[in-house]
Amino acid sequence: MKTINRSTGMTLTEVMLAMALLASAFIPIIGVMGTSIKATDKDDRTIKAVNLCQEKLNRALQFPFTSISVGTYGGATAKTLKSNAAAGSINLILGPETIDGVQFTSQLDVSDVPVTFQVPTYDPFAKGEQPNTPANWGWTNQNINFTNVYHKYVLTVTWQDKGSKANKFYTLASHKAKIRR
Amino acid sequence: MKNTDNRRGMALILALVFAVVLLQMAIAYSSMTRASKPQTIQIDERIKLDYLAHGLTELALLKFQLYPADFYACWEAAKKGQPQYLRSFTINAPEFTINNFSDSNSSFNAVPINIQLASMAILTNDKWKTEALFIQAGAAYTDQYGRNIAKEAVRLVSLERKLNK
Repeated sequence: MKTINRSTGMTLTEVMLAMALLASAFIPIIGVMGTSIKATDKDDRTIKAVNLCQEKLNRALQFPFTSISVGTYGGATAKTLKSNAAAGSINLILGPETIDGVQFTSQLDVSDVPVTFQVPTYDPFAKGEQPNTPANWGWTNQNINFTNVYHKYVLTVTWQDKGSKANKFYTLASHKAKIRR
Repeated sequence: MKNTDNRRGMALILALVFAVVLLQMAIAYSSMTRASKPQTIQIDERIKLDYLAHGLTELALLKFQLYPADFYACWEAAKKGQPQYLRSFTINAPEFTINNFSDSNSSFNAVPINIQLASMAILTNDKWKTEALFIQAGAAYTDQYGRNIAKEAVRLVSLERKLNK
C-alpha cells in the first residue's frame, strides 16, 4: 500500500519545461502591459495639455477686444495678462507651470487679420420705388477693407513625455472680432 | 500501465495550450489599444474645429453689426425670391471661406483645416415679437485615414431694430 508508483505524476523535467513555456508566454504580456502603461501616461499628459490649452484660450477670448493687443505672450517667460472688464477682472497666466509633476509651457500669439468685406449694397430710393422687385434695387458689390477689427488667437501648450527630451505641442486657434457686446 | 503512460507529458500539453491562450489575449489587447488611438485623436481634433468655426461666427457677427441695413435688404430680397444677394453677403462672400488654415495644424498630422460659413438667417418669434440672428459655421479636414472630420458652431444673437434719426 505504501509503495509509490513512479510512473504516475509529473517528472521534474516536465514541470521545468512547463514553467519555462509559461514564463516565455508571459514575456509578451508583460511587454504589452508596459507599453499600455506608457501609452496611458502619454495620453494623460496630452489630455492635461488639451485641457490647459482650452482653459487658457477660453480665458483669452473672454478679454475685451482692445485688452489684448497684437503680440506674443508667455512661452519661456511667465506673463500674466489682466483685464478690468465691466463684469470684473480677468487674469490669464501664461508661461511655464507645473501640473502633477509635469511642466507645461503656454504661449499666446495674437495677430491682426486684415479683412475685406464683400457687401452687396442697395439704393434705398430704388427700393422705395419698386419694393416688390428686388432685382431693381440698384445693387452694387462693394469691397471694404478693415484692419485691427479681427484678431487671430493661437494658443500653444508644449510639454515633454516621460523619458523623452523631444517637445510635444498642442495648438488651438480661434478668432475674435471687435464687436459690440 | 497503459493509462499512466498516456498521462505522461500532460503538463506540457496543458502549459502549451495555456501559453497559446495567453498569447492570443496579448495580441487581442494590443490590437484593441491600436484601434482606440485614432478615436482619441479625433476627439482632440474636433476641439480645434469647434474653436475655428466659432471664430468665423465672430466675423459674421461683425459684418452684420457694420452693415445691418444691407443685410436686412438682402434678407428681404431673399424672402421675395431673389436669394443671390443674401448668398453674396453671407456664404458666397470670400471672407467667409478660409481654406488651408495651417496655424492650428493637427498636432498628430499636418493636415490643414477648411472653415466655411454655413448660413446667416433671421429667426422671428411672432408670439413674443422678437428677432434673432442665427449664424452657423463649420470647420472640416480629412484625417490620415481619409475620413472627413467636421464640426459645426452655431451662434444666436437677439436683435433689436432701431431707427437712426
